[in-house]
Order: sequence, then C-alpha cells, then structure tokens
Amino acid sequence: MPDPFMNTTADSSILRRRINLFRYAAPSAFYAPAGIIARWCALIAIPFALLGLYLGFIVAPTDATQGEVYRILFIHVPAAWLSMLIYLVMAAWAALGLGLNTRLSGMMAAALAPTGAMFTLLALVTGSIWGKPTWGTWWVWDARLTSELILLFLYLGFIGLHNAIEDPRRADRAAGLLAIVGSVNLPVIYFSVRWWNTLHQGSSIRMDQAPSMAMTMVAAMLALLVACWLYAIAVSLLRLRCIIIEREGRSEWAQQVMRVAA
Amino acid sequence: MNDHLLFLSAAYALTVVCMAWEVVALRLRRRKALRQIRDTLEESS
Repeated sequence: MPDPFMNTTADSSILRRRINLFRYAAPSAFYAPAGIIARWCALIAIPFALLGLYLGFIVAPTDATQGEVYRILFIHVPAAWLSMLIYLVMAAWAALGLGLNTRLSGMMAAALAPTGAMFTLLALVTGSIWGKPTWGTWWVWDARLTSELILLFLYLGFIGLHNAIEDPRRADRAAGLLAIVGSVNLPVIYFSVRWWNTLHQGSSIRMDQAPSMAMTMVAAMLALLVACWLYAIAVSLLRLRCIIIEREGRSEWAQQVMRVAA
Repeated sequence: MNDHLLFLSAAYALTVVCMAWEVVALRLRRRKALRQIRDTLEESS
C-alpha cells in the first residue's frame, strides 16, 4: 500500500511552485510582472474612485451637525488608514530584507516610503482642514495627531537616510532598521484614542461593532479606501521599476530589455 | 456654508495635486533612468 506521505509527484509540484515564487525575488524577474500588476491596479482604481466620489458627493446626505464639510472624511480616513498600512508593509519588507538579505525587499521598502509619506501628509492636512470648522482649531497636540505627525517624520527620516547613503545595499539596511524600530509607533497611533482622552474621535468603523455612520457614508469611504489602496500599489510598483532600472541598468538583462524595446 | 465648501474643495484639490505630482515625478524619474541606460548602450556600441 503506498504511503500517502511519500507522494513524490505532489511533493515535487509543491517544490516547483515554491521555486517559481522565489524566482520573483530576483529584481530582473519581478520587473515585468510589476508593470502588469501596476497597470491593472491603476485601471481598477478608477471605477472605485468614481463610485466612491458618486456615493460620497451625490448619494450620501448632508450631515445634520457638520454640514458639507464632513465629506472631507471620505478622503481623510482612507489616507490615515493607508499611512499606517503602508508603514507596516514597508517595515515588513525591511525586516525581510535584513533577515534574508534579499535585494528586492530593500527596493520594495524604498519604493513604498514616498507614497506612505504622501498619504500621511494628506491625512494630517485634510484632518486639519476638517478640524478648523468642526473643532474650531487647525491643530491640537492630541495623542492621535501627534503620533501621526511622528509617523510623517519617520517616513521622512527613512527617505532622508536612504538618500544620504551612497551604497544602495547599505542604505537599505540602515533605513530598514529605522523602519523596524519606528513600527512601535503604529499601535500608539491606532490605540491612542482608547488609551488617552483625545480630542480626536474614536473609530467610527470597528470590527467588533456596527459602524456608527450611515451605510451610504461607510460605502463611500470603503470605495475610496479600495481606490487609494490600488493607487498606492500601482504607484509603489512603478517606483519599484524605476529603482530596479536605476540600480541594475548596467546589468545584461536590463540592457537586453532596452535593446528589445528600441 | 460657503466656508464649508471652500474647506471641502481645498482638501480634495490637495489630494488630486499630491497624487498627480507623484505620478508625474515617477514618469520623469523613469524617463531619466531609461535615458541613462540608453546612453550606456550607445557608449558601449
């Protein structure tokens, strides 16, 4: 009777699949798929953005207490979520790069940082624009706002440190370490509204409770969140392709791609 | 009400400007990187 644990055909197919996945850890192998994924993400982001704007500006009613200005939240909340998510992904890639010494991981982390910084800046500025008519002030040194500002400084520190070191592999390692250490700020941002008494309101959408907003508002916010998410993936992958060309432009495969394209 | 619309427009305009700036900056960066490879290729041939 054959031993089911000794199924060599199945084992070899799993191994082959794993090897195929590892193949994409090489920048030269990931360059083309990155372009295809980026294009698809950008294309899918457009209908989600249009749907989110339609729901947010046409379907969702005017808020009884805040008036029209509450519609800023449809972009503020996705920007704030993405600022944290992108940092988490960036720190994970940096940790993978430090642990396994893979070139693509460092490039991924470097490609994510500017987009993460942009979303953090957007979250801070749109929050400030919403805060003026709602709270009566542009800024307060509240735990949520301050920790989000620290996140912006962490992104800028990552980008600055990366640019300051000439050798890209050393830059990846140094900036990666900063990204990993800085990730302690993420739970502080997320739980700040629970740990401290803040002016910033608590989460309107939580996993363990029904949302405290109207469903049309939640739908608009989620549609714009998906659009921003896809945009972030597309832009980061396009930046990754630039980084690959910049670092590996002198290699044989890159020159071959150029010869074919010419 | 007019103030609210001004704040709302400012927030969305800023978002569009930031995203457009990022995309344009990326295209310019890509063009520069490709030009460098092309120059290297021309030099070697």
